[in-house]
Amino acid sequence: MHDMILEMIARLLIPMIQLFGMYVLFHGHLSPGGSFSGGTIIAASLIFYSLVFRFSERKHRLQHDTSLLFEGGGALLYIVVGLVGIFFGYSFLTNRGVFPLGQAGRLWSSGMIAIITVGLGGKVAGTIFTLFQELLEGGTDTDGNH
Amino acid sequence: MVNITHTPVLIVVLLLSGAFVVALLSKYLQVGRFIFLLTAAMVLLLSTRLTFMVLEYGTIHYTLGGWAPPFGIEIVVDAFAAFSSLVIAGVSAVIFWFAVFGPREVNNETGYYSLLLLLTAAMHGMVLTGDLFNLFVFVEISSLAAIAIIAVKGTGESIEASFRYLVLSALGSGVVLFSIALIFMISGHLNMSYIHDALVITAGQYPLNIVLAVGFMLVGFAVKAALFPLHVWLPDAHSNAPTASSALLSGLVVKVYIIAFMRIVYLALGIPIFEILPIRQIFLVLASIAIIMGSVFAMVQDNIKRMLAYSTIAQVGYIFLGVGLFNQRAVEGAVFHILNHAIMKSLLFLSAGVIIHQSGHKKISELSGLGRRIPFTFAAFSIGALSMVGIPGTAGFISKLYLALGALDAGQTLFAILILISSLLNAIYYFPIIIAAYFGKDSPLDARDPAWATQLPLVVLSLGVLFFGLFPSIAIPLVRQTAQLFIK
Repeated sequence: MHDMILEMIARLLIPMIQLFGMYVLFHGHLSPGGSFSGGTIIAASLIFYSLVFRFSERKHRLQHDTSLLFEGGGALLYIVVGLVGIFFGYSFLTNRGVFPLGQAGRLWSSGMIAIITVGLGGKVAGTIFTLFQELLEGGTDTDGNH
Repeated sequence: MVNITHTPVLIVVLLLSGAFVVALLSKYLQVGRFIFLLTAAMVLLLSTRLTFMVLEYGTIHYTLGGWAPPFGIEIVVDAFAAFSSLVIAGVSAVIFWFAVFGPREVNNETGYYSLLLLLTAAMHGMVLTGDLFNLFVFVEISSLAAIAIIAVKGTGESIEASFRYLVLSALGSGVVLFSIALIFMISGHLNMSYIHDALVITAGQYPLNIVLAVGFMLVGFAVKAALFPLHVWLPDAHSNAPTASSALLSGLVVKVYIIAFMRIVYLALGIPIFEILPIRQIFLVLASIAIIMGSVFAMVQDNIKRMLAYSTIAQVGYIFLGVGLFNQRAVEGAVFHILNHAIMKSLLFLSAGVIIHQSGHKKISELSGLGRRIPFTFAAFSIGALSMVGIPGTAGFISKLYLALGALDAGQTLFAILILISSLLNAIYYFPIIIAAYFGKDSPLDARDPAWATQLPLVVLSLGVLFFGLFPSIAIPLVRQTAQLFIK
């Protein structure tokens, strides 16, 4: 079913929501927010999209595998960033001395924290969206099919 | 801050990255299985290396992120941590092999492997960490992963059992968190050795805080470790899970919480807490009831996996009994029993799983005569059962011997008699299965032993039971050092 008003509003709102989500995500080390709130906001825009634009058709939404990739990849990014510290001869997850710290208060000012935040933001968005998809599909049946 | 080795953190990191990679490989099942087993093998190597380093250099401290201890998270690998890590790595590697090559019981295979890796990572983290809040995080991860590997079977019973486990386990986690908050309130630290130093000064001024904190901690970990009156979730959860999950849960997961509690006691709270509060008496009374009642409940079960689950309650009682007796030999017995029970209960659960899968029967009364049809698997089951009863030459005998000697050292003859009675009770419910299987009337079933890959874990664990029964001295240096950490 098409709903003109809903679709137009969604087209206006979704970019704004995603931009705001990115803002919260990238400023996680400077202002309230970060990976969890930013990721959830981005996931909310994706859920909004698939609710408005015919979620029953697979091609119109983020594929299940893609959101799983974000979920696993975000956590792996965290681990890889942690391992960089070991490669430079420091402890696991070392920030100071390994990553450029930048000037305090600026956007690029926290070394690895920003990278981790983005990775985790992707993971949170992926997780929330996967949960939504699982609810939509009603989980797996006994044969393992969706 | 320079660390002498990265091994402790690499164990946890490797398992976590393995979990996330395997979860993504649902389209490439063979690659996923390979990475799953490779991770377990590498972790076993790292754990072995860590153990040798601890034996050589003593306690290893590792600080994360280059932040010095009161602020950063610290990993403290003493003899107990290294021993526990090695037990977890060894037994879980064998169970992982069974999860891959054993009977299929779950639909989403890579998801299941991912959960198993996540659970193992949390267990390693729990025994290695020296930070109280870090410990809580690992407690939560392991609880959720443990619940998930029960529910993954997808039958009505397993989902109901995992939901009951979820409720009680969440209660336990909440209570542990509250206890950590109470300790933080009067010590101002989360690092265990700093808590210890702060509590020496402040504990006397806040006796109520200490009583509440220790009480909550005790209840929280006792729920998760299934100490007797709080065990109600265990029989359903362990008997309705897939075979590999049952072995992992019964063999390792319940004991990890005891290890975590013991580490909190000697690292953070300090041993004098045993004199201030009646923890030992509580342990002794509840453990005695657990040993008797666990066996009595096990006797009346007809479902073989349920019987094994009730037997776990009794065996957890032994470990608590050793801690409660609190002398060198009793604690050595308890620590040794952590290893022995991990091996023999995994062996029993895995062989029971194979028997159920090959014969299609899970009732003890229907297993008569199957020993001649499935001789190999029943031989493995019999070795595990003999060790459970405590026949000399098997691992179970050594830990029971140490516990009994510890009870005599403590002047508590009653508990030595209790251990003897409990061995007889074990014999009452294990021997009829073996006797009926080998000498009972012939079974009409056309069952046979499974492929060699399925049997390999049973062989390894059976050899483990016999090895530690005949040569316990291999493990004694670590066990003795652990007991000394605890007794001081």
